[in-house]
Amino acid sequence: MGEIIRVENLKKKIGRKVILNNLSFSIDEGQIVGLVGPNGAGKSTFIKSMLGLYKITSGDIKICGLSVKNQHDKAVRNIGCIIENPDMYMDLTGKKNLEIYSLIKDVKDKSYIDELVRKLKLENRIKDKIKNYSLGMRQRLGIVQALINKPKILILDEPTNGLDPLGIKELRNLILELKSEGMTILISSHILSEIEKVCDKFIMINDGSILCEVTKEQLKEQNISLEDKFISMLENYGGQIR
Amino acid sequence: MKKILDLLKTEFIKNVNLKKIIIVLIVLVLSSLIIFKISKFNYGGNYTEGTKITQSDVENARENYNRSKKLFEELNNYESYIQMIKDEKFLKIRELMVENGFTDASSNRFKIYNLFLKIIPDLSEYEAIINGYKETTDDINDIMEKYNKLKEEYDTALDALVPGDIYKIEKYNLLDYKEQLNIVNAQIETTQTTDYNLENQKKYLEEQIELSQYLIDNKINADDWQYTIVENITNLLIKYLIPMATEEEFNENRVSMYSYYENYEDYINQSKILLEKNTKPISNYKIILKENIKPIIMSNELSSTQMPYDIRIGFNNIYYMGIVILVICIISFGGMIANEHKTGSIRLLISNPFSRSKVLLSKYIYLILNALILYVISLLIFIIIMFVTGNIDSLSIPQMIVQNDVVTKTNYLLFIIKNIGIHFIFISFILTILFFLSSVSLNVALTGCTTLLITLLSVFIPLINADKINAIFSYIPFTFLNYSKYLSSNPTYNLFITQESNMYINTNINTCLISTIILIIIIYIIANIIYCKRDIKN
Repeated sequence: MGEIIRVENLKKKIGRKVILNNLSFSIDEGQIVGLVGPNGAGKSTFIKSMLGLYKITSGDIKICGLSVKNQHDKAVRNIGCIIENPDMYMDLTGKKNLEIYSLIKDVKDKSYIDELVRKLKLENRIKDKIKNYSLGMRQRLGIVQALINKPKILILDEPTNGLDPLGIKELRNLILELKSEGMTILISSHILSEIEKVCDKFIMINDGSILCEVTKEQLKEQNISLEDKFISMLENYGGQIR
Repeated sequence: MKKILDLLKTEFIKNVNLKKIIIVLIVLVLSSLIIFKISKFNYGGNYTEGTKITQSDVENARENYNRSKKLFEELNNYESYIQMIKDEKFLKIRELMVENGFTDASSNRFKIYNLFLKIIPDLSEYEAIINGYKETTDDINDIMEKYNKLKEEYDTALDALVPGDIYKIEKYNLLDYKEQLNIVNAQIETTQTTDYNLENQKKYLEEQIELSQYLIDNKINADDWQYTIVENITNLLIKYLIPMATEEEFNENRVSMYSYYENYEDYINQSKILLEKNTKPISNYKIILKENIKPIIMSNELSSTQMPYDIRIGFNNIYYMGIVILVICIISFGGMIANEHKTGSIRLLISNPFSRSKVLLSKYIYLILNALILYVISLLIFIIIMFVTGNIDSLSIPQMIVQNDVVTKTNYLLFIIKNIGIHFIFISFILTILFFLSSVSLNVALTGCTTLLITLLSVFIPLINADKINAIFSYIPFTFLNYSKYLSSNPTYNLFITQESNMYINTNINTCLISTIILIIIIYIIANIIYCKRDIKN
């Protein structure tokens, strides 16, 4: 499996404040990677930089060998994402939203969209306006939106927000199904127990820097849970949680 | 290009729905009707609606007439007789107006009244005659005899009168002019030296005879555009040919009226220069009549309010509709970028294969496209209103421009399209400012209020009629103010461009057009640079 995401000395400053400080790591194709860190660690900033929402101060992110900095349009074509809350047009119906997504992502295969809608159990409410959806339903529509163009990489920022236990289980199963299809998934979440169940690799960040990279196997070998590892890493760092 | 089109499509899917379309259409139709209604009052003439004269007005006039008639029968003196004639005249006018459905503001009222005075000479003439008479019954009988004789002539003329058919009445004027010309010619023959006054009177009467003959031969009605030209030639003739003061009159009124002239000779010479200067416009108007070519741009000798060219007034109203369109755009699109940032939906576009420049460009095109659609709808509404109200003018008649005394033929449609284009560039300029503020500040209130203020300033400041302000606007590159000045430089907007507004056309409008387009590009580029460097924080 080849490298699909490469982060090279990524630095992001907002004003004088350094949010991401020389971040470097890589993710292989087909991996599910958990991005773990306390509030304000720089997880969302990293994801937004990766998507081109934040301008990179220095360094670069390469997706499928394409620079986000210089080849944004081509690079992000490989990504499907949900950042915090899914981006939707609240006054439009689910169907209209999907119409817009398919136009934006240049998707012509309508049967695949219908299949996704069925898979995420949205078919009965697809003609309702989004503002009448529950948070969980919006999250599920967000996943449809993210997967609509069959991306190589799926980015999920706090994907379990608003989902009930059953929804969380369904999402987990979906993630594992997508992995079996060869999709690379980057998940950022606070719920470490949940992230531990699905991810192959964990990248822990704090204060804009990487604390450690650890695989599921390594955790097993060390006979330590992700939560314990994360807390011990933070303590080693000096307990400074921003 | 495909990406821009896709983004444009998404903008339409996101924002356009039936409810919005219906609301905007209602606003446009209502605004158009209000502006049309207001314009009708502003433009005067045929478009001024007044109170309709009813039968009760006639009854009131009849009551007055009967009262004065009874008074005359009782007193049998000059004053009561004059009053009776006045009331009778008034009654006749009222009857004629009711019969033809005229309003008290209708220009026809004045035409009928003038006609009435022409055929029955003004009472002041009788007053003059009366001065030599004593107030005896014989004198009154004498006046009555003269009056009744004239009344017969008037009744014959009245029979021929069909509302608006001025040419049917014109034969009386023609006879009158010919008779006067004979008298003037006889006077010239008896006078040994050249009398400019007589020469001018002769010229005036010859011109009037020609004009009267034109009206009769071509069956020109009061509402025909040619009649307006004839009226204007007449005004010019009256202004420069009569009355010329005699040397005696000149000397008598030297201090009060002729202090500008050194002596009588100077007065005559200056008048001759004026006459020569004025011969050109007169001959231009005569070409218009001869060629049957409608004029578009008049010299300032023509009052725009007299122009009956309704379709142009309809297009003029588009200027004011431009303000309505701008307000609609400010309300609808003031938050077009800010709101997407607020809800976070902008991420959907930016995190997908669309560069910020393309997202921004598609939004700008969407904004301008919407304004263009609103503009075209407004134009169509006006054309429909013009058509329904029967005010639509024929575009098939060739057009000409009378500008700086030079007559040139032109294509009326192209002329209109050019002006509409200029107006739309002005609207685009304001919208570019809206777009700039929206993308840079991401604040709906700031964007909306500032753009609204700029719109109102650009509309109202140039209406201030001050030479100094005009001069400043001519040179300071606030192009949109220059535009407004150009577009609103006379009451009927730029389609009747007077010599005053020619200044703006000749000296500024082309420069303004170029500089405005450059400014639009610069503002857009700055907005693009700032926006592209911005982090999408939400």
